[in-house]
Amino acid sequence: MSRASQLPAPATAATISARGIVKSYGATPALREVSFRAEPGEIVAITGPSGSGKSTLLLCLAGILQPEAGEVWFAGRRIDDAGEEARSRMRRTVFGVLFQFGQLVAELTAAENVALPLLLSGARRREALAVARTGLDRVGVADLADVHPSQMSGGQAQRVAMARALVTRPDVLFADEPTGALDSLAGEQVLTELTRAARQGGTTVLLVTHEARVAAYADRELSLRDGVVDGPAHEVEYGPGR
Amino acid sequence: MKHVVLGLLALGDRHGYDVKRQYEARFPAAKPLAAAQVYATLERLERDGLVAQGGVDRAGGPDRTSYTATPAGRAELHRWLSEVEPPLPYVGAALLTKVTLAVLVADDAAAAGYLRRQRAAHLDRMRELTRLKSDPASSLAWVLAADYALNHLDADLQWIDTAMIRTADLSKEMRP
Amino acid sequence: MSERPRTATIVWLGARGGRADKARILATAAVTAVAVVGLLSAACVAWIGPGDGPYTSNLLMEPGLHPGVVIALVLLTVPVLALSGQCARIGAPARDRRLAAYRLGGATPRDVVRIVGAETGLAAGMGSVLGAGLFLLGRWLLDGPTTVVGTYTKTTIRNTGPDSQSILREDVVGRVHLLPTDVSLPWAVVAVVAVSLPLGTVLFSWLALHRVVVSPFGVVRRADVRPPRALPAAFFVIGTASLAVFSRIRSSSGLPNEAVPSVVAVVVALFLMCGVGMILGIAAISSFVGAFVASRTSSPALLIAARRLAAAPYTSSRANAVILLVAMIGGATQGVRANILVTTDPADTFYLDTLNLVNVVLMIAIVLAATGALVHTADTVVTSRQNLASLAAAGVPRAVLRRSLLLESLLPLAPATVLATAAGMLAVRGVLGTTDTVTHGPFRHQVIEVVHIPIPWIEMGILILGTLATTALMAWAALTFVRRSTDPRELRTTA
Ligand SMILES: Nc1ncnc2c1ncn2[C@@H]1O[C@H](COP(=O)(O)OP(=O)(O)OP(=O)(O)O)[C@@H](O)[C@H]1O
Ligand SMILES: [Mg+2]
Repeated sequence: MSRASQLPAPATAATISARGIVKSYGATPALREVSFRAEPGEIVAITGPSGSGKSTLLLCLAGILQPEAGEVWFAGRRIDDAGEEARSRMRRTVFGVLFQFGQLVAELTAAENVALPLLLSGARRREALAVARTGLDRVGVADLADVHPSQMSGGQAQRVAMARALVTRPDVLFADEPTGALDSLAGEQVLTELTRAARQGGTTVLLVTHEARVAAYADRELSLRDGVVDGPAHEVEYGPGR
Repeated sequence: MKHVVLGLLALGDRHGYDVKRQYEARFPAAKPLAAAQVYATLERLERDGLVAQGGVDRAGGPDRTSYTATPAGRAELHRWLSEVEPPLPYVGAALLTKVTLAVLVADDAAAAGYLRRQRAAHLDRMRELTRLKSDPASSLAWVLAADYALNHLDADLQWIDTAMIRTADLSKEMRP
Repeated sequence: MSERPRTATIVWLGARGGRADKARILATAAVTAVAVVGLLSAACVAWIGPGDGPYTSNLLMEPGLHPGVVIALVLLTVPVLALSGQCARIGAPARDRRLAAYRLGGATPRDVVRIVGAETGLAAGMGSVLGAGLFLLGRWLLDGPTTVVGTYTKTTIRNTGPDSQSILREDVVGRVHLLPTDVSLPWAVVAVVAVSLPLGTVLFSWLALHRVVVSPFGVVRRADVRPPRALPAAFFVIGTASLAVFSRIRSSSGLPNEAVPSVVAVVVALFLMCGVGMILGIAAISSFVGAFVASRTSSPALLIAARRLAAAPYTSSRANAVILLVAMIGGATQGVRANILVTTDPADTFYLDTLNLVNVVLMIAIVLAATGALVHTADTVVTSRQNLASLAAAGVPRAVLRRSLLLESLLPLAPATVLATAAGMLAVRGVLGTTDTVTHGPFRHQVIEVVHIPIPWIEMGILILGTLATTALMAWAALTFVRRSTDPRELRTTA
C-alpha cells in the first residue's frame, strides 16, 4: 500500500483528497466521515460490499454530489463548496467520468459524443471532431466514429465512453463499475486500455468496483464498509493537497 | 501426473529431462516438477505398456533414453481427457479450515484480522498476476495461467468477503 | 477556467434529437402557428375602425360586440397554448435523458437552460413565422373571393339632442366582407404577436425547467414525486358551492343586485378558485380512482390502466386539465344560454345566432383540448414502448394494451367531466338565479312574469358525452402507434 504522506506533493500537483466526508440520502447515511487522498498518477480501487457508499464517495469527489460535511480538495483548492457551474466546468476539463453504462448521448454519433466536452468548452466543431477521432483511434474503435451508441455492443460503447472521459486529458478519471455490464474478456480489454492510457497520461484513476479482479488493476485499494473506511485506522492517511 | 507425462509424450517423443523442460514451458506458473518424479513416472508407464523406449540419444553428454507413447498409451490419454473432473468432491481447503478454527478457538476479532490479512495477500498476488497478464510481452501460456489463477483467487476473495460479513453469525452458531 | 460553448454548439445540441424530439419540434411549431393565426385574427377584429366594413355578420358590424369577439378568439388560443404545453412534453423522457447525458458530458446547468431555450425558440420561432406568413397570405388571398354583393344592416346613430340619440337600422345592398380582410393591421401589431408568442414559449419552457433538476443522472421532477394533495379539490368544492348559493346569499345579506365591481370581482375570484382547484385537483382524482379501481378489478386492461394512473397521476392530469376547463366553461355557457333563451324575445334571432356561434366556438375548443389527449396518448405509447413491448412479449394481447391505454385516459376523465360540467352549470345558476323576470305586452300594459330557467339537461348531456367521445376518439387515433411500439425490437430500446 503506497503511503500518501511519503510522497511530497507540490502545491500545483493534481492531488485529490477528501477529509471527513459525510453524506446521507434522507435518513439513510451513505458516508460517515470518510477521508481519502490520491496522488497524481495513482490508480486507486474503491471497493466494498453493495451499499457501502462507494458510488457516493466517487460522486462527492467528482463534485457531482455535495457532501453535508467535510471537504474535498483538488490541486490545492477546495472544490466541494464551489458552485454547480464551476463544478460542471471542472468535470469537462480536469476531470473525466466513466460509468457502467448510459453516459453516452443516444442521439449523437461516437465521434460527436467524444467531442462533446470540447464543444462545451467552446471548441470549434471541426477541431473538436478531429481530436475526438484521434481519441477513438487510441482506444481501438476508430471505425465506430459515425456509429450511434444504440448500434454498439456494450464493450464498444464503453470504449467510446472511455475515449470521451480521456479526451480532455483529465487529471483525474472517476470510474464507477466501468466494466460492470461487460463479460470478463471485454471488461479486461477496457481495463487494460484504461490503465495503460492513464499511466501514459499521468492521470489519477479512482476505480469503484466490487470485484477483486477489477481492483487488481489498481495500485492500491480503499475498502469501504457501511459508509466508513474499512480496516485499522492507522492505515488511512489523508490531508488536503496543498 | 501420469497423464501429464503421457500428454507431453503424445506431442512427440522425448527423453526424461526433456519432459520436465516441456512441462515447465507449457505450465509456466505451476510448481516445477522434480526430475526423479518424472523418471519414476516413466518407469511405471513403461511397466503398464503405455509408453515404450525409443532410440538412445547420445549427443553431447550422458545416455538419454527417449520415450514414445504406445497406442494403448494414447487410448488411455484420450479416455482420461474425456472424463469429467468431479466438481470439488471434498470441501476442505486450508483457508476454510483455518478460519473455522480461528472462530472456534480464538475470537471474532482474531478471525476478522486473519481474514483481512489474507485478503490483502490475495489482492497483492492478484495485482501481480494482472500486471503480468497486461504486459504485452507475456506469452499466451502465461496469460492462460494468470487467468486461471486470477479466477481462483477471485473466488477465494469473494468467499473471504462474505466470510468477513458472516463471522459474527458463524461464531454464534458454532459456539454452544 | 474555460470558455463557454459557442452559440452554434448550443443550437446544434438543441436541435440534435431523435424521432420524438423532431415530432415535438414540429408539433410545437404547428401549434404556435395556429395560435399566431388566432391572435392575429383577434387583433384584426380589435382594429376594425369606423372606415372598415361593411360585413355580413352583425358581430363585426356592431362595434359594441367587438370586445366579445376578441375575447372569444383570445380565449380560443388558451386551449391552443395548453396544447402547446402538451406538445412540449412529447418525448420528454428521451429529452430528459439527453439533457442528463449532456450534463454528464460536462454541460453546466446554464448550458442546459440555453440548449432548451434554443430548441424551444427554434420550434416556436419557426411556427410563429409560418403562422404570421399564413395569416398575411390568407388575408390577401381571401380578400377578393370573400367580398360579395349582399345585404347588410346599416346602423346610423344620430344625436337628436344633448341626451338622446336616434338609432336607425336599415338593410342596404352593397359590397360586403365576410371576413375583416380589409382592416389595415399595423405592422407593429403583427410583429408584437409574432415575437411575443415564441418568447413566451421559451420563457414557459424555462419556467418548467425551474421545477426540475437536470442532474447528470437524469431529470428529477420535484412536482411528480409528492403525492397529489386533496386541498385543490377542496378549493373546487368550496368555490362551486359558494357560487351555487351565491344569489341566495346576496339577497339575504343585502348586497346590491347589480353587477357592481365588488360583486363581479367576488364572482370572478370564485370562478378562478373553481378552475384552479379543478386543474390541480384532477391529479388527486386520478390517483384516487386509480388506486380504487386497481385494488378491485379483475380485468387485466383495467388493472394495468389503474396501476399506471395511480403511479403517475400528474401525467394524465396534465392532459386532462384543459379538457375539464373547457367542460366547465361549457357547462357555464349552457347555463347562460338557457337563461338568455328564456328571457329574450324568440323573434329576435340575433341572440340565438350568437349563442349558436358560441357553441361552435365551444366545439372547436373541445376538439383542441381533446387533441391534447391525442398528443398525450401517442406520447405515452411511444415513450413507454419498452414497457409495452415487454408486456406484449409476456403474452398480454395487444387488444388489452390498447384498451388499457384508452381506459387510462378516460378513467379519471369521465367522472371529472361530469363534475366539471355540473360545477359550471351550478355556478351560473347560482349567480344568475334559477328564476328571472320577463316583461311583455304593450307599453304601459306590460306584464311582469316570473319564469323558471330550466336546467338544460339535453345540452349538458350532449356536452359531456361529446367531450368524452371526442377524447376517446382522439386517444383511439393515437393507439395506431401500439402495433409499432410492441414490436419485440423495442425491447432493446434504452428507455
Ligand atoms: N439516490 C439515492 N437515494 C436514496 N438512497 C441512496 C441513493 N443512492 C444511494 N443510496 C443509499 O446510500 C447507500 C450507499 O449507496 P452507494 O450507491 O454509494 O453504494 P455502493 O457502494 O455504490 O453500492 P453498489 O455496489 O450496489 O453500487 C446505500 O444504502 C443506498 O441505499
Ligand atoms: Mg454503486
